[in-house]
Amino acid sequence: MEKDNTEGALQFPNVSGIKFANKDQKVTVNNKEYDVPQYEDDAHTHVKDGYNEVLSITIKEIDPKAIWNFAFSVAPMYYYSDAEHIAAFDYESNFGVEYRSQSFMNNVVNSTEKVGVPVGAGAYAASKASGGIDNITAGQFYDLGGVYFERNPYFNPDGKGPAKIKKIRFSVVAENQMVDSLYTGSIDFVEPNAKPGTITELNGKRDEGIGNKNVQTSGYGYIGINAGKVPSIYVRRAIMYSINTQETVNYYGTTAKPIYRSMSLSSWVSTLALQNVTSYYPYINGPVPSNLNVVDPDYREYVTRLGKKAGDTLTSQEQEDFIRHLVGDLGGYTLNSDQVYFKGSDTCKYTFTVVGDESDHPAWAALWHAKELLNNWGFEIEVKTDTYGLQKLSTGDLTVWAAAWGSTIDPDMYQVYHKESTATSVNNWGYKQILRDTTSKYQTERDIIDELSELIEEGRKVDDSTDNGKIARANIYKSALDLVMELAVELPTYQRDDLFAYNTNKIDVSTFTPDSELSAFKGLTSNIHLISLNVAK
Amino acid sequence: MFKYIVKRLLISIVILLGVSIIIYFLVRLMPADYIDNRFASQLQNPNSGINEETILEFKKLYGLDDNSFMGILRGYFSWLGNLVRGDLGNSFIYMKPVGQVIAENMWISFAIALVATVLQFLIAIPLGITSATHQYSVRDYVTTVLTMIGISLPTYFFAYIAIRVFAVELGWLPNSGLIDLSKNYADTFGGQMEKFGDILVHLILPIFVTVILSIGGLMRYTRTNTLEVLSADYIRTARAKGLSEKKVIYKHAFRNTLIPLATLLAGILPSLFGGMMITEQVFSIDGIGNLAYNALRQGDIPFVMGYNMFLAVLTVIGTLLSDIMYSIVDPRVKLQ
Repeated sequence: MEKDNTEGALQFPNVSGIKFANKDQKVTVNNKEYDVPQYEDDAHTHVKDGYNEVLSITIKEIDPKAIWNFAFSVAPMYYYSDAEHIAAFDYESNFGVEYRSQSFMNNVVNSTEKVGVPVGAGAYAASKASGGIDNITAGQFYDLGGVYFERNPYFNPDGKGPAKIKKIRFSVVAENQMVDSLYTGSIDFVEPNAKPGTITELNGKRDEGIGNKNVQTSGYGYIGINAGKVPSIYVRRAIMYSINTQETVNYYGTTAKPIYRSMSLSSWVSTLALQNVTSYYPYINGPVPSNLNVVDPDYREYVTRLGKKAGDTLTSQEQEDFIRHLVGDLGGYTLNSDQVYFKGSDTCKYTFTVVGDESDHPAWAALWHAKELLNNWGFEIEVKTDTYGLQKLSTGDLTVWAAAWGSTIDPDMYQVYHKESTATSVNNWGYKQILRDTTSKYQTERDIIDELSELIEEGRKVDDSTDNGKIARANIYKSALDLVMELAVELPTYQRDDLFAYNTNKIDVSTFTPDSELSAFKGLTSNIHLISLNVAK
Repeated sequence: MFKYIVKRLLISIVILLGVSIIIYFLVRLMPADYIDNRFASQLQNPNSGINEETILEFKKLYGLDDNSFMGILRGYFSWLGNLVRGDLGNSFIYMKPVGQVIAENMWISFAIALVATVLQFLIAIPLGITSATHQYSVRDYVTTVLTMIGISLPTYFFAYIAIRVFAVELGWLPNSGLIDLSKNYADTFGGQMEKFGDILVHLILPIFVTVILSIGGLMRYTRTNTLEVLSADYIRTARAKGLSEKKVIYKHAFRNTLIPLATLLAGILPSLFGGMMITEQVFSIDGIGNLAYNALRQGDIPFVMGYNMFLAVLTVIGTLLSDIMYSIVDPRVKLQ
């Protein structure tokens, strides 16, 4: 898309490719026919039952993620405009907004009826403690730790509205009080952290009317290594070999799964192309994996040379030899007088950071044990927590860290891994240092990134609207993900579940999203307007 | 006396300026400012549209872009200039004038603190006196041990135990918040009274926790003072006169025991209005302490400055009142 930066102009002119497809003639979409809509009123504000207005959107070239970009939320015009501009709306050339106008935006977002009060066209509208949704002020909407909603009588997206439950309130409670609040009955639905202890406790309360369910979340946990601070690819690989990712999974017990490539298990790419992969850098103190075709070639060669079979473990000496081979022989590092590896200005003295306030973190044990191993083999590692870790991450100030990614529904990897990405997240890995370097220091990395960028671009041009297209695109990403592993800047660790706990005496659990439809992108209460109570409230 | 008060007030202005400079510099030197905190997670989401340039623009907008010594100094004088004009600024996170946020939220903290303080005095003083008059008895040891346990328990720990026992297991009291969100409080007198009643019920546990954890200090203070007074000559004289032990203690000793306590009472001014960060956080009460804790964590400079200056002013006034009260209750003390 080409930008037009003229004041007041559409920034992306091809948005004008949006057309009212069935305004004058019927259209067929996904084998369903849509007639020209008929309206309840002359102003054409209400479409008659059984009719729909269909929009067609034309884009310039193949963009498989475009469908998700256009998955916009429907919002009433008062959400993003004001009375003056709403009056000027004409369906054709005036859409009730001033494009690229700072003053228009400021006027809208600072208007008193919008500050502190949610607007929109969802199932619920802002309310107050005594009920009612008209002229709600911020002070009424949030009162004494409670947030008040009442069903929107106009919400009827699928003919099943408005919402069954009339009033919904959100309560502000301390995180570790969530489950207790459920037990005391002051809250009916909570999303606590899915730790094994919490689940066991909740399971023990089933007879008392406390239900729970867990659903895979879209994001995943990872341990990152900043190439700007750990310049040697072999040192980064040595660190990865010393981390037992299974320990991060164990933290969550049965509600997490190991993840071996930097792609959410919820992605269709994972389903199509990543089913048989195992860890690219198998834990050095763990069993040898059965499929050596999907691991780092150095490891494969080493264990093959040692005659190890699947399930065998390496002796302490064999483990140490391998790590020292990577760092010393391949990385070119030598030991200083403190028996710590160094090369030029880089000494293997690193800090492993758990982002957050406390060591009660899925990656803490894995990083701690990695430290114990590495400190015996020429490293000097410190493990610590950092309250401001997330902020430091965005400026590339952390060396090795544990954090988690969110994940979108499309597998596009451009923003995180493409060499021309301007996203701040590339600072984490030290992309800037790699790409700015003009010496041979990061040549290997640059070669990998070039190849990776080509694959990412290729993946963006595949029409994945067919099964074959999907498989072709998935295979491109599979190769790209192997390159990411080769780069040794991100070690995926676990993908956990979201936990939901609720009062089964009060909520009709049969009205939650059915199990067959639950996914990382459709939770238990995604169709909140369909959920009802056992007892009329 | 008047001259003394004026002199102290003038000195207080210098103290408050010093306090404000220290706090402002400390807040500005925190590792992450409000904008860093606000956009940290978005920065990690490559599809959020937030990048370093956006962050820098926001920092400029909020006056947080220059963290050099001169930059911070300029920021301080800008804040001070607004303060002189009676403007504490707008809270970044609460999106309201700081004065308004403090005024709206300090009363719930004050209510908890006031009731807790009254109860604390009502319980701790008799305990301290009885402990002193029965020094080294079983009563003394039991009282001392129990109150020491109270002093030693961390607030959050004891609060969670209290919640577990009285809210979760026994179900007698609500575990957090101020009102029952399942109720619809009508906009009528009856509805508002029902809401007020619920607030009172919700405050029982926080007040209980606060009282139990604070009586120990006051009890020990009273015990020590009473022991000191009981060994005074005039007590020996009273006993020699043949007065009953009850009369000796409650007529002669008790009143003198209250002299140092009177000064203590004036010193609690900041704690009455300043809120209780941990208790309010555990019980999810939107008191001034909880708000200040969140503001501090998120680098809300206007609120942190406003809140701390509010506390500093209360402390200065409390100390002044304390000195004045001392001279009132003890004629031997002269203020100059």
